[in-house]
Amino acid sequence: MMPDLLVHGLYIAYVLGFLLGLATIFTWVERKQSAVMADRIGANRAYLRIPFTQVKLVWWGLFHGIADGLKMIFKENFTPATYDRFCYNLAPWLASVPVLLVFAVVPFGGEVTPGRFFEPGSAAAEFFGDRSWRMQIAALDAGILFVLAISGVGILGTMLAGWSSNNKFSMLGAARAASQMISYEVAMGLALIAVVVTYGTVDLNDMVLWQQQAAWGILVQPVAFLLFLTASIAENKRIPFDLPECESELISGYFTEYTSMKMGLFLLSEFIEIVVISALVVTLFLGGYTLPFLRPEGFVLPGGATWELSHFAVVVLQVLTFTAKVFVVGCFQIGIRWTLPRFRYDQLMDLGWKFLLPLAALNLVVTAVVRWWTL
Amino acid sequence: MSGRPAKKQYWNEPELGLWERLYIFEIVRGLSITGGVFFRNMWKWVTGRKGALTAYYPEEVRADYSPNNRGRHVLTQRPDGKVQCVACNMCATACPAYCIEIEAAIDPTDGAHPKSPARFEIDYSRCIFCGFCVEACPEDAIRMVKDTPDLPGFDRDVMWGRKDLLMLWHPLADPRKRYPPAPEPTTEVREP
Amino acid sequence: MIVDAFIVLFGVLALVFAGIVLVARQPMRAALALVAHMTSLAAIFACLDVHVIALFQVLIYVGAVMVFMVYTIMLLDDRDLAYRKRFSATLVPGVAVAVVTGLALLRVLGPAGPGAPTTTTGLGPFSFSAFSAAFMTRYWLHFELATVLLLAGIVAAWAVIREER
Repeated sequence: MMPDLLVHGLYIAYVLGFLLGLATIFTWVERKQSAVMADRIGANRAYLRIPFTQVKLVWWGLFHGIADGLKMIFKENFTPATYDRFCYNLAPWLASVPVLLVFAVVPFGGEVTPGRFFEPGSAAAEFFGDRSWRMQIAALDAGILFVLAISGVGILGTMLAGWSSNNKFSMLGAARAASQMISYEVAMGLALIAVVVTYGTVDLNDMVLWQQQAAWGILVQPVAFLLFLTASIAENKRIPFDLPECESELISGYFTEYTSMKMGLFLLSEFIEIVVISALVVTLFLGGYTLPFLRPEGFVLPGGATWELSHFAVVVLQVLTFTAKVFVVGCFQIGIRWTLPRFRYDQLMDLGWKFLLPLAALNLVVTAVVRWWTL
Repeated sequence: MSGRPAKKQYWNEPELGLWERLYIFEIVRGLSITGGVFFRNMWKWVTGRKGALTAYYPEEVRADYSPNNRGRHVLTQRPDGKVQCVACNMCATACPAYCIEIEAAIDPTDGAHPKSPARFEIDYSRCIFCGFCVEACPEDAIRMVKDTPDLPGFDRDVMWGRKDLLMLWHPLADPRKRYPPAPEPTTEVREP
Repeated sequence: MIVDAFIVLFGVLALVFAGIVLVARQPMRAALALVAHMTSLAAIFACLDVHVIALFQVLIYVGAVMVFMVYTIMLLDDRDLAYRKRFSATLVPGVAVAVVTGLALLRVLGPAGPGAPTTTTGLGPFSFSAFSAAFMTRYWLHFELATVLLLAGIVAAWAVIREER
């Protein structure tokens, strides 16, 4: 009981720190990567001054995220003459909490046996015993269903935000956001079903282990990878799918009327969702936390050569591998955001319903036939 | 007549081939362009060069400034380091923006130049960089150099160019205009 | 132990939100209460370790059905001034009838009533004959009561539609 509480408490703390920290870093990456892509320098003015000295830490503008957060928190919390104050205040939470929840089923490391970190016989080793835990907050057997179910709840938040703001722009943005998210959720679900058929499991950790045994999902299911990435970016409402909040038409879309940290929640949840999408893509298609040849006892090369590693080193290596993969995929998403122009709305719907959905269905059929043939 | 109206033809109908309409390959092409620029610039940054076309604004002088650029005022100095200005107020009179303020001080021990500015301030929030002050000066005490004044600030108080700031520049070797030779040291010093 | 506490908590929450669905006057509030009710039911399923049913409860009812309902309410955007009043005028008689009905059901179906299920003899392997026998002997009253409730619901819907504003 107590070790369970401690381990899962640590997991939750780690995951929250991971999500929020990486989301803040991605705000910086978004600025700097776009700047370097466009021959610019990028934001570099915010600094931390070490107290009692004149030493200013600029660190390539890394602290702009902190400055943004502080600005959001201390701004005036302006509330419009809204029709429904309760829904207005509820909406940012409904939009941001599901994004955080989705990460609960994503494994960010392999099996960990905390008792092996300590000297055998010491008090800590006795406390943990030889039990092992999966590095996953909720080791649900229905992992991927959880992802689909919870990410569907986020739509409610955007719709409530647009509806309760009492503003035509917000309303239009909310209508666009809802139809877009509903449309792309269908394609996303079909793409995921093909993945489930291939791996033969809905448990995300088992999917990672399957990929370790066979091959990375991007090689087995390249079409599903493309479909899932496209649909997730559309779910996240980022360019090229940012019609719900396109500045040139709708000011800021469904959160036009929001100020201070309520708007900050919408913006932050967008960046957290980048992390979550990257984590899902990594888990489903890029081998999750595994490295090639990394086994629980160390590196085992195909020639038979082994490089023994301690349990602690393996665990740290897995967590770092996962973080690095998530970072790379997130940077790729930001690269897409700064490369592609925005769709027109009919093009967006055409892409969703006439291209992605049939392609996902076709992919599912082909996968099912191949699976049936090889079983 | 069918209920569906004929599709309107535009003169600039998009002419997309199958390759473009598949979209995914065009995305890859676009990503390779932006990614190429990114990695090229990033390689420059990593190897210690500058991978951007923009300049750090106040810190860096832009490369395309003209050599005659009239950016920032400097007060020239005599070889002994004292300011060359004699506080005659001609520049302040000539200034169309009324942004120069001079308070004179007197030093009776200095026979050659008893008058000097105690305070010499230029309000950069009003200066129009016309250069009239430079032309008005009889002593060649004020010049404008290829630089940017340290303008960015949170209020107008920091936009003043004070005397000590104007004298931070030590142009003892200005190639365009030689400095006056050092004055002969005066032997007779009047006692106060 | 903790799980039992959670089941009771979410059961109470489900009842409260179901009540709010009935008494709330503004459609969006009612829809949100229904969302909360569905989520509470899903939480009860999750506490009972049937994760798949819990997730489908969220996926289908919250993620699909309720999203479309909220979408419709949002697009209709019916801003009637009558919604300023939070609860409907027939709140008190409605709650009274609900309490009376609930007490009657408790009397009939409760442990002392005539419709109380006889003690079950453990959970055997599922068979259709046993299920049918149990359904026809033990649970017929529950089934009939459910049909009566559905009929009442249909009559209520008809009354609501007929109401002239």
